[in-house]
Amino acid sequence: MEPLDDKELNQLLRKWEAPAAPATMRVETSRSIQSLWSWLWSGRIHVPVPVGVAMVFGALAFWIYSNRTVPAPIGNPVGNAIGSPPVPKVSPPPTMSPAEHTLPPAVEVDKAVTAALSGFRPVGQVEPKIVRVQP
Amino acid sequence: MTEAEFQRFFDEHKDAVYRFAWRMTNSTAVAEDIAQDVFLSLFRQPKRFDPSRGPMRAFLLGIARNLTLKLWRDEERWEQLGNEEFVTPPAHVEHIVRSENAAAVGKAVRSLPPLQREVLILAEYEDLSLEEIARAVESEVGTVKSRLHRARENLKQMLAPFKSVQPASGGRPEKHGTIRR
Repeated sequence: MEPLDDKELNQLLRKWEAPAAPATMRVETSRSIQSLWSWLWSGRIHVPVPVGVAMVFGALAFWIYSNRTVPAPIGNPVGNAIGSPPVPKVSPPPTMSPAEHTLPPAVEVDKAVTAALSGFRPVGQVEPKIVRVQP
Repeated sequence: MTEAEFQRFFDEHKDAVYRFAWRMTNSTAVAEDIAQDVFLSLFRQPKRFDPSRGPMRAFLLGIARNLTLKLWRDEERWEQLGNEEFVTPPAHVEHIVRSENAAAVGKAVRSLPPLQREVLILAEYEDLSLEEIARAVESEVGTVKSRLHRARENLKQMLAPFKSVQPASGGRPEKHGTIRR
């Protein structure tokens, strides 16, 4: 079958008429501004599947981590506890006046016992004496 | 853009946008939705229109074209778009013979691959220049020319059964088919 020429095609194309836009067609510009707010309630966002799965797993892991119960140390607190052993608090050594340094050793030992040995100083020179009881 | 300016653009171009969307989709409801979305887009982002790159009508038709393609992509009809080497199916010709002329032309145009169809509609029915069409469909002028040529050749084949019933000459002067360059 012989195809149409350009003139015949143009004549045929002109016969296909499109309707005009309906008179009821309106664009509500005021609503279009409000729609930004309504989008927060009814809008939709597209999330790629890998990102969505990663977010779900991340949220799940966070929930499990935050809700886990930490077991209290049982028995020997130094040797058998899980994790690091409790560290005793160390108070800074009190500043001593020169007069305190002259205290006799017995007094100093007593203070050390009651004050967690703070300010303990080893004896500088030991002079043992042998006391013999005469029969 | 003030609301008055927007209303003026709407009144001037709503028919062209609606016609284009209707010819592309063959649905009055979808065409109306697309036309409304086109003007909403203009209202929200008026700075996207650059007068130095072409008239407002070509800009709006470009948006309508993109929305139409997006609709087809969402409906998974995208695979038909790139079919440049379109060959007229013989069964379609037989169907056209039995139809009314106008409806047959519409069916023939709609049976073109979308990339040929949009170029043909913009050129033949909306009187856009090749440069304006190229901007609207985001292609080169040479590509547009080639698609338009293929579309017309396909239509000549498809509508060949109407050759005998066409008047030989006379009638109104030709409006369509003369592309501004």
